[in-house]
Amino acid sequence: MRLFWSSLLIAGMACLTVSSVQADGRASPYDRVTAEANGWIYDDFEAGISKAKETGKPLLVVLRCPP
Amino acid sequence: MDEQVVRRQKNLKPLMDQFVCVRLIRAANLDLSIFQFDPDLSFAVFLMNADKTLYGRYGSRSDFYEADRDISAEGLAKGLQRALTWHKTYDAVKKQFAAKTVDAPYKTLADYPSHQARGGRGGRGRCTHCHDLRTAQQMSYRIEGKPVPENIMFSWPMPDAPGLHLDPQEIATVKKVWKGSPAEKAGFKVGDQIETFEGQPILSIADVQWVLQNAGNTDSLTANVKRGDELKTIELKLPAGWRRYVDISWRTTTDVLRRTFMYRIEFEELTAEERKELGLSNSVIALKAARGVSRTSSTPIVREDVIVAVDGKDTFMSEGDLIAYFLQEKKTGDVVKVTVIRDGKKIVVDVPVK
Repeated sequence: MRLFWSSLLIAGMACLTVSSVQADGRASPYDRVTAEANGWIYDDFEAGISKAKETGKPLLVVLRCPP
Repeated sequence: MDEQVVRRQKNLKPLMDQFVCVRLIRAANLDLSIFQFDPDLSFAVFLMNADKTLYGRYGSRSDFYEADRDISAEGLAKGLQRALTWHKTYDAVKKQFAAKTVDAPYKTLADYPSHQARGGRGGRGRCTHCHDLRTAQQMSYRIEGKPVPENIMFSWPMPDAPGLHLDPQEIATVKKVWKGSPAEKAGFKVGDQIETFEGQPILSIADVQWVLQNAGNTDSLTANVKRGDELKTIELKLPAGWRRYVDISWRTTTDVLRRTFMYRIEFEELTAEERKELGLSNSVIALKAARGVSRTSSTPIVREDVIVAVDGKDTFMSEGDLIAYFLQEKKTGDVVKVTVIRDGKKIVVDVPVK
């Protein structure tokens, strides 16, 4: 039984990480985790500018507005 | 699409790794002198230099439910590739990007007086959303008692408005030219690749939209296209009312206008069969109150009413035209005489403008 509930909890958390937006329209708290784990600078445009200057790379800025 | 990008999907990863990737989620803090985009999008990409010069934008939408219909990972990958090419020769090509942004009337959404007047939030206690930006723009004119301009009312037109349907799998390749359209008259052909538009280098459909957004209500725009091995220059002449050839009913901002000015009513155009049943020709207005009200609502117009004339005119063809009439021709307190067919009878109802 404990295994069942643990599996359910893990599956639920996995679902949350897949969607960047919650049902109430706010960004999911897992959005930051997913983005940062994939190398994104999160919600800090000026930090992105600094890094682009430092590395000589261009910027790719995604604006994700919860619908 | 957002998930593919945030997780650096396979075909995007090698390209994305050559960029510094930044994810922004708060519309309220956006610097509007840099981030100029269609506010009805919930996903938009900006490719830029560290000096904040915009190479181009990515993200287009023409439907509420099919949000991904006009975008693709393949199209984005090609746009990224093009931006990287420009980045390598930036000093030589920098001047071409000057028109990719324009002066913004306000630095942030919070600076709009109309946004402050609405409580500075998106409503219903929720966060500020991107679409609140267009609502703030529209309401700014309303508060000042001015008509909402065409480019704010029918903003960010898809290239279909002048008759160009572009392939979302490509950068800006013509997939279809609408018959009888300004694009057909200009000489566009299927397969044409738009390289520059009004002198601006193009990396996406959104870049084409940007040029259209900043065009006049009648204008002539120059496109340089690649057709096979040839380079051709095409003059696209935009006739009066050209922006109205696209549907704005899917937009969240249109829904805000319905709620604010149209008694929450969502209108639908009658089908050819329905028109025939009511004896209406295809060249006159026939908008049915489809959703948002009931048959017993206390609103001037109730569900199933079919609008056949507004202030005696029957030339409005879409819901967008109708809303635009209220926002461009009328002031708060005016009364619009709307002729409707209700229960088989034609009656005229007074609709006070909110």
